[in-house]
Amino acid sequence: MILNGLLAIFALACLVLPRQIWGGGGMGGIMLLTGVGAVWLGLSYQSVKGSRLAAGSPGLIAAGQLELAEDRIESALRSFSLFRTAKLMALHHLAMLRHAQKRWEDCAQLSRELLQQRLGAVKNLERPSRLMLADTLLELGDLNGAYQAISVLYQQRLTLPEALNLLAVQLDYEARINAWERMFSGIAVKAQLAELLPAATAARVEALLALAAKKVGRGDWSEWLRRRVELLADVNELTRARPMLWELWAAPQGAAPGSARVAEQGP
Amino acid sequence: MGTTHKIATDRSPNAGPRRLAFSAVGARVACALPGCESGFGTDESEFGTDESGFGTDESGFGTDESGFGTDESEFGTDESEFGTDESGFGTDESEFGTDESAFGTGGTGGARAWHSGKARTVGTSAVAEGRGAAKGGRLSMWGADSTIFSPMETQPPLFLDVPTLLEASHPRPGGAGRVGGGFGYGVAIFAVIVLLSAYLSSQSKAWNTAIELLSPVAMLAVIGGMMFYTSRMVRRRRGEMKQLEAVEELMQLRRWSEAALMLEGLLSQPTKTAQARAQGLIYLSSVLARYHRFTDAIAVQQHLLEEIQFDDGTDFSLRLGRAMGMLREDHLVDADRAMNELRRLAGGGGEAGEAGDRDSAGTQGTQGTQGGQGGQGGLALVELYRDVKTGHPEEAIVVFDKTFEGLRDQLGHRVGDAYALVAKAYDLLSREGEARQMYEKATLLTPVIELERRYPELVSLGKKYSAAVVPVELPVGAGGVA
Repeated sequence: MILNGLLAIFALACLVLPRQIWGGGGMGGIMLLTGVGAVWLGLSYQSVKGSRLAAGSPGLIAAGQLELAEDRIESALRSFSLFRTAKLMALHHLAMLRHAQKRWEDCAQLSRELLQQRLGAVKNLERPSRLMLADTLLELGDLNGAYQAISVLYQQRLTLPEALNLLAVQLDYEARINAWERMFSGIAVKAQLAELLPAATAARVEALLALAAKKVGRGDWSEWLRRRVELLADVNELTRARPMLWELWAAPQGAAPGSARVAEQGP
Repeated sequence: MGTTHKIATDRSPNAGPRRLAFSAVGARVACALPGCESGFGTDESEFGTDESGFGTDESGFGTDESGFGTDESEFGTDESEFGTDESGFGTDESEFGTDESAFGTGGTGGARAWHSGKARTVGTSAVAEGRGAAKGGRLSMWGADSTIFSPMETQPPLFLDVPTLLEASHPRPGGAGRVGGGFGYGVAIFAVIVLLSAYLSSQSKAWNTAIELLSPVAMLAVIGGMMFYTSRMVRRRRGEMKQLEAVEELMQLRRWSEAALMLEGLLSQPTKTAQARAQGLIYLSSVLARYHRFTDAIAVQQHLLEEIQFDDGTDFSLRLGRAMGMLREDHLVDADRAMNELRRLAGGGGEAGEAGDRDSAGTQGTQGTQGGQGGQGGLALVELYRDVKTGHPEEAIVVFDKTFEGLRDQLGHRVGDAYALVAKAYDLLSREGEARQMYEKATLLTPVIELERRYPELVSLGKKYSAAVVPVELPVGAGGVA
C-alpha cells in the first residue's frame, strides 16, 4: 500500500515538476515517468506471479494434496506483492489448509486475523472465512464464539454453497445446544439441501437431522434419514467424528446390553 | 439488482425469424415470428422485460429460506419438473412457468413456434393449446380464420440451438470487450502522445511550452481513461462470472428452465473471456442432457474436448458425460470406445472394478490419473448402465459389488442411481427379493420420477416394486405419517 502510494506520488511529481527537476527540459518528466511505469510494471508482474501461485491452492487442498498446497501458499506469502489483496487471499488459503489439516487453533487464529483486516476488494472472503471460523470454533468447543460467527452470517446474503455450509455448521451447533425442535423445523427442505453437499457432509447433516427427529418424537423421519445415512457413509467413521450420533444406532430399549444395531455397511 | 434477459432483442422487421423477448417472471417466451409486429411482440411490456428477473441478482440465495426455495417445487420434485418428455422443450408445461404454451414445439409439420401465453388473450380462436403450433407446416396458433399472421415459411432456430450458440459465444479476439484489448488501446494512445509531443517540442519553443503545459494533463487523462476503461471491463467480466455462478446454482437447485434461459442469453453473444465461454458450454451440455437432447449435448462436449485444453478432472467429467449421452442415444459402439478411453485415462486400463478396489484400499489419488473426485465412481456408473442396457446383468452386479465404496464416497446421493441400476440387473435375473431391496434403497436416496427420467429402462421397476416412502412434514408433536 505504502509502496503503491509512493509510486503514485512520484509519478505525479514527474508530471507536475519537470521544469524544476530538469531545468526546463520538455521530455525529462515523461522519461522519468516512463521509468517509474517500468518499475511499477515489473513489480506488478512479480506480484501477479505470486497471486497465481496461491490461486491454485484451493484445488490442491480439495484434492488432498496438502503438502503441495502448503508449499505454494508459503511461496505466495513470502514473495513480494504490490497488492494487499493477494496477501489476504493467500492468508485465507492458509486458513483453509489448516482447516483441512484439522489444525483448529491455527485455523481459528488465521480466520480471526483475516476478519479483522479491511478486506476491500476481497470483501467476498468475509463470508467463507466466517463460516470456517464458526466450524472451527465448534470443533474447539467454543459454542459462544460459533454463535457469534453464525449470527453475523444471518445478516448477509449468501451464495448457495455458503448457505449449504451454513446449514451444516448451524445444525452442528444446534445439536450441541440441544435445540432439537429448531433443527427439526423445515426438515424436508433441509434434507433436500443436504443432498447438494459432498457425501460425507451430507451424511453428517442427515444424521443430525435424524437425531433431531428422534428427539422430537418423529420416528418416521428419524428412520428414513438414518437409513439414508447408512447408504451414504461409513457409520463407524461418522459416529467416531460425532459420538452423539451413536444414539441413532443404539440398541432399542429392552434389548440386551451392548447389542447396538449394526449399521448396513455393504451394498 | 436484477437483470433483464432477452433472447435476440432485435426489433427490426428485417431481423429474421427470431426475435424473442423473455420475461423471467412466469418464464414466458414470446412469439418471434415474421409479421408478428402488427399483432403483438413489439410491446416490451407485453412480453416481459421485467427487470426483476432472475440472473445475476445476488439476492437469489440469501440466508432467508425463500432464497433457496422452501417449497417443494423449488427442488422440482413435482412431476412436471422431471417430465419424461423426450422432445426437450416442448410438452413439459409447468417446467417453463405457468404459461402452458411456453416453448411449445409443433413438430408435426417441421415448423416450430414459440408462442406466448399472452396469445390466448390476443388471439382470436385460441387454437394454440400450449403444445406445438404447427400442423402440416402451417401455424394453427391463430386459428384458420386468422388473417393477422401469415404462414410460417422459415423455421425459427431451436431454443438453445447448439451450432448458433457455439458460433456466437466466441469472445471477440482482442476486441473492446476484453480487458487486454482495452489495455492495448491505452498503450497505443500513450505511445502516440509521447511521440507526438516529442516531435512538436522539437519544432519550436512555443510548441515546447505548450507541450510542457499540456502533457501532464494529457498523461493524467490517459491514465484516468485507462483506469476507467479497465475497471468497466473488469466489472463486466465480474458480471459474467456472476451469471455463471447463478447458472450453476440454478442447476444445483434443479431449476433447469431458468438455467437454460440464462445460458441462452449468455452464449448467444460473445463472452468476455474464453474461460467464461468454456464454463457456459459445460453447463449447456448438462442442461441439454437434462432435457434429453443428448445429440446436442454430445456435440457441445465434443466441441469442448476438441477445442479447449481442460484440466484432468474437467476433461474426465466431460468424457463421462459424453459416454453417458452416447449410451442414452444407443450409440453403443461409440460409447464403448469412449469408455475404453476413460479407463485408460483413469490410469487403470482394466474395468472400473479394479479402480474400485484401489479406492477401497484407500490408494485413490488424483496425481497421475484423471477423474479426480467422482471420476472412478462416475465411470463405474456408466459401466453399470451399459451392462444393464445391453442385457448383461451379471456383469452389472459384479461392477456394483466391486465399486460400491467408491460409488458411495464419490457420488454422494447419486449412488441412488447405482442402486437403481443394480436393482434392474437383479430384476433381469429374476432375483426379485434382491431387486426389491435395491430398488427401495435407490428410492430412499432419489425420487422415482428422477430415476426414471435419467434411466428410462427403470420404468418397469416402478410397476413391480414399491418405492421408499418419504415422511410427511408435520408440526412437531403431530405424529408421523409415513
